[in-house]
Amino acid sequence: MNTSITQQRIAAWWSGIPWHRAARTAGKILAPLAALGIVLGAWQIYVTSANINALILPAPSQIAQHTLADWANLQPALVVTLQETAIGFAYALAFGLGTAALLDLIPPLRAALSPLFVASQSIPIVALAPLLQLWFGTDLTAKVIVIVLVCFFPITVAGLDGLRATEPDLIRLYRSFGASLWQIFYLVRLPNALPAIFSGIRIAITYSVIGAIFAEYVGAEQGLGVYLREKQAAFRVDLVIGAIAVTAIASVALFLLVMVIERVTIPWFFAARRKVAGGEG
Amino acid sequence: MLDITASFQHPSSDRAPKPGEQCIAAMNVSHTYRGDDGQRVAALRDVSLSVAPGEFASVIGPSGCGKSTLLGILAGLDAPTAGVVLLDGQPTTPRQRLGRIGLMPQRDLLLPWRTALGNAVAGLRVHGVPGNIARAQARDLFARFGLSQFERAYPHALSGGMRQRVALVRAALASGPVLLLDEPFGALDALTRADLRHWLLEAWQGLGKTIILVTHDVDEALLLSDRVFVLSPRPGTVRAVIDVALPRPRDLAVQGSAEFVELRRRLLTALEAQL
Repeated sequence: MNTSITQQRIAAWWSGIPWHRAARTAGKILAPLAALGIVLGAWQIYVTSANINALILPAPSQIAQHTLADWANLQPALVVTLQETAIGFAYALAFGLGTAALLDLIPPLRAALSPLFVASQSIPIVALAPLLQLWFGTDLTAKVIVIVLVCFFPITVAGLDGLRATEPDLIRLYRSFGASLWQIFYLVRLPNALPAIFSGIRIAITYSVIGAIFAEYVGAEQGLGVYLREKQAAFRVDLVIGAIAVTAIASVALFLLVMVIERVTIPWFFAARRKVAGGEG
Repeated sequence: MLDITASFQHPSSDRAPKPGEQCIAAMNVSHTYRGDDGQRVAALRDVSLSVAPGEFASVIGPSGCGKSTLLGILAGLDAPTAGVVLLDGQPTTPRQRLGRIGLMPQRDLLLPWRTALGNAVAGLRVHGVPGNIARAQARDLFARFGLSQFERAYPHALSGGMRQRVALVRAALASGPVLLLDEPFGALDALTRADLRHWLLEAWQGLGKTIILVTHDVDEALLLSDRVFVLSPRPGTVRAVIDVALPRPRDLAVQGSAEFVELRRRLLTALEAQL
């Protein structure tokens, strides 16, 4: 290949990189990490300088050290919990979106069921989980039900709002084409609702890990909930906090995964939003 | 069903509607609806108008005179309280008109998740035309109207004028011979409007469509139309029909002519008589 053309291409690629956006993104990542670092640093200094009993409040360095030392036990528990989370979340997603679509398409059903769904959110899962364990045992079913109960609501609400947010004029335009209700649903309203649905999914995915751990906490053979309960009983505060940190990291990772999927699925939404934010044209 | 070449009818040099020949007509259409406060609002009263095949007609009137309501009824979106709409001389129900009449709304209403070409084929997709055939038809129109380079662009990357062009192609592909344009250039700046008027005339002559344009711009109506229907304030009713027998293209010389000035005076008089 011609060298000068290659050089030109590299130059074009280099100048084509949106550096200002890259800098903004880097800032978004670094700022929370810096805040976290300050909190952990203060914690570390406080515990060492005030001579706090490590059995009550261990230092972050100690927590990290002991958690890594116990990784052989923690890792299988994490895998089990993440598997349950994935299965439960898949059910929650299907149930949440299915419910949203059904309630949207059948208004009487919406009137009858949406108050009940709101009421279902006031049920303390703490009270319900032992009952579910009684009915379904310690196998996967009870855990999936807990996760679905915790997760479906934000997805359903976001789906319903997103579907209803379609501009009436756009629906009229499609009606003028002779489109059926079903065609309007899948050609216009569903894609239009995707940004809202993703917002609901982002909220739900952070709940899902908590839901799985809680279900395990009540009754299970394996998983982070079981690990937490055992370490609590053994007064291993360091390992409890370590497991909590691992849970948080897993939740953040799932949240970021959803964001990546969102960027890939609805790039048009972000492109249009950037343009509005930039105030161009 | 939607092969646009089938609906081609190149406008004859004599554009005057031939007696009895009508493409779309409203007969004694009245419409009242219940407003937010529960009161009945009369939007249209006894509107009759008839537009010939290939004709470019405009409907002009003060804001709130029911122009958009009229278009909604013609398109089949709303059922009039009284009266009937005829297509090719045949009375039709609103439902029968859906899918047969192209509507171009004031805002382009392009789907942000589809490219310009993807938006243009929206009506064809609804009609079940296979994707490759629909896209071929749209590409053909894009090429004829100088839009080829924008086929793959998403709406957010297009200018307002370009988006309206895509919206017109979408309406033209979605329908039979009749196109209803609801103040399509209302939100654009003056230069873009002038540019789009020329483009619209070219598209109209190239496609041989029958167009009904709703506008509140006197010059726009006179520059584009064969005939102008003047509506009264609400409840809207046809107060005057003005034939615009000016030669085309209506360039600056025509706009300065005595006939143009006289038509403009008549149109403004008809509009002001009601205020």
